[in-house]
Amino acid sequence: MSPLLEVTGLRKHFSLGGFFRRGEVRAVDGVSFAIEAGETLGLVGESGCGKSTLGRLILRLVEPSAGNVRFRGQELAGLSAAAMVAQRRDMQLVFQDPFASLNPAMTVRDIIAEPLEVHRIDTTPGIDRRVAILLTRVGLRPDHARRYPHEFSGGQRQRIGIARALALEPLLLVCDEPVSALDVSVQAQILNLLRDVQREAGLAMLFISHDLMAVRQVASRVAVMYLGRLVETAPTAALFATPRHPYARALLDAVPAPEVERRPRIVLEGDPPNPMDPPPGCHFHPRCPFATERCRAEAPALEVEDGHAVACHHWRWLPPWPGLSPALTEPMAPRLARLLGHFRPIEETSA
Amino acid sequence: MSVDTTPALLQVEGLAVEFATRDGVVPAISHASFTLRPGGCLGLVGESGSGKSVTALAIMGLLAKPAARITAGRILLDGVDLLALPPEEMRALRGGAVAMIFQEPMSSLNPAFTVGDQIAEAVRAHARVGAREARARAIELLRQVRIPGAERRFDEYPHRLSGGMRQRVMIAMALAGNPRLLIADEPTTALDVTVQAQIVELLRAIQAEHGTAILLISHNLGLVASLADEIAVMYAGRLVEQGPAARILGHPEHPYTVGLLGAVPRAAPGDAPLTGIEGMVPDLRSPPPGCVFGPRCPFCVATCRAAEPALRGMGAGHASACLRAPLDALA
Repeated sequence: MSPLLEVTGLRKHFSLGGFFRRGEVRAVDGVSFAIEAGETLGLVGESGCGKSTLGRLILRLVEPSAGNVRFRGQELAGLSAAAMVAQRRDMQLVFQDPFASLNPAMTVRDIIAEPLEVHRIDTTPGIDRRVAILLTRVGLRPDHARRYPHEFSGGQRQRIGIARALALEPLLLVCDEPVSALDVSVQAQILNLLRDVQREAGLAMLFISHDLMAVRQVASRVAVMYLGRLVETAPTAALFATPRHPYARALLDAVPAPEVERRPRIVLEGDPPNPMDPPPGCHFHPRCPFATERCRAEAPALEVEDGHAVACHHWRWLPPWPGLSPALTEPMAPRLARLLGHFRPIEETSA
Repeated sequence: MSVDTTPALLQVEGLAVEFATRDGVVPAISHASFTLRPGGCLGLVGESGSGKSVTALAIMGLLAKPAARITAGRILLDGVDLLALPPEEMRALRGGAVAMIFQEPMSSLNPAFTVGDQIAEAVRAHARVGAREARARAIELLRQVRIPGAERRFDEYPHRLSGGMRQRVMIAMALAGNPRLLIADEPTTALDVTVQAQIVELLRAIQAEHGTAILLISHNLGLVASLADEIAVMYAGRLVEQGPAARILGHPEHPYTVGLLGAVPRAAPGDAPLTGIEGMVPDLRSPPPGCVFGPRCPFCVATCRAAEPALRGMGAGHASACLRAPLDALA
């Protein structure tokens, strides 16, 4: 059986206008991956790496320059607008900023009902009933339907955005940085919620984030993106145990841990490079502590071994990775764990 | 708070701040007290709306008047009450002995001037130096914040720089007046993960090289833990727990701190769902009776609702505002 979503050689080059200074940004530069039905793939990278563009390419909110996106075996490129609307019913998007993505002039009921009405799913009383169920599902109350977005906190607004995305019972949810605008404790609530809805509805998810630890909470597989290309793809546990790409290691090393004993860590030098002027060879070489002449000249291809893919010339010879901070990997201190046992894992939050 | 006897650099005593809003008076901070020793780093942790940024603005004398009003308390810097200083002396202090960096470096820089000019201006605001000397000092500051090619970068405009470079420029400007206290309000929140780690390393180096004390404000306990030696936890305008960082992280004595630690994503075996804290921060216009955390607290009992608990010493410079602390019996 073919996967739910199959992306092959996907490219998006934005040309920069101007008569004298022509150029292009290769936002997405030949990306291939697949998501099985019911699976969550985490897509990790820093700003400007192309991960949000990739999410939008999959939904065909931007048109690819090259490559294929197959959803349920159906090639999306070239579909008519009407046919695309029908496909989009099964692929929904959750946005980063719950303050900007909800129409302030609409009630919560209308925001959540809109996709149902666009696709003429139900009668008005039927839609009202569905909205009530959706609100309860995301941890809000049915009577919240009458209110407006400004009456809600950031976390609650993100719940409204999730309810709207779930309204059409999609097969695929693309979440673009859904928690990065939220406080840590609220992030935990939303991550739990996404994990629960994903498991209950059996939907597939592409979870886009710059935060590896957030990705780890929801994704069974992780793809690491750097400057338009995937540099590593692995089952989540494998990536956290033995990251093969120096960039994946650096991302893991950069996770701030609530640790009592600070450990020395390798801090990556320099900024993520300018996508308008990417370095030759391996895009990561100017920041890589292991880069050699070959890395400067030749872009590495993804090499798969044991279901773990990496695009690095030297991954087999890298020194062993010391691992994440013990504060993140060791079981919690027994006293703290017992105290936390009194806090219920969050599902519902009432206003 | 600390047990040593060095006089505090910053001492905040019983600070209370109110905001007049259309919907009535909001007590944003209620009786917050803490100290920061010279060269130390105090992490002020709390979620949006907890009052941590208001605390920073109060210290800087930057609260928007007349909407904000300091109704009680003292803010002592080297024993001098900043709240009693005449405005011109406070102005001299700002960017001098006390400097601040913010979350969004782009909106804090003037897009119409080069970064070098802006740093040089900061230099000249606090020292009588000529243009040439100010330029040399600005380049030196760019070097101190590890900006490669400092001389070249001097003439660049802010929009040419990455987010991390802009935050370095902000830090360079803050260092222009040789501050003894640097207030960093969510300094890495808008930055990429690998760049966040660089900024933390830079702040640590500045603390070590210049003996600058840092008041680090963040909602991220992990970030605070990477820099602070003391931590104060704020909730709904109150300090609910404070003490040595190792103690707060390893042996918290307030249920809110416990909940915050449970919300940090971990990679421990078992893969349990994250523990969140149910409910929301209360509306400060009508706080719940007794302990403000009571309605969200799994350990709340009748006495918690009777009166608001004050901070109590738990030994070793550790204090908690929980009636039920020490929490060991509840674990």
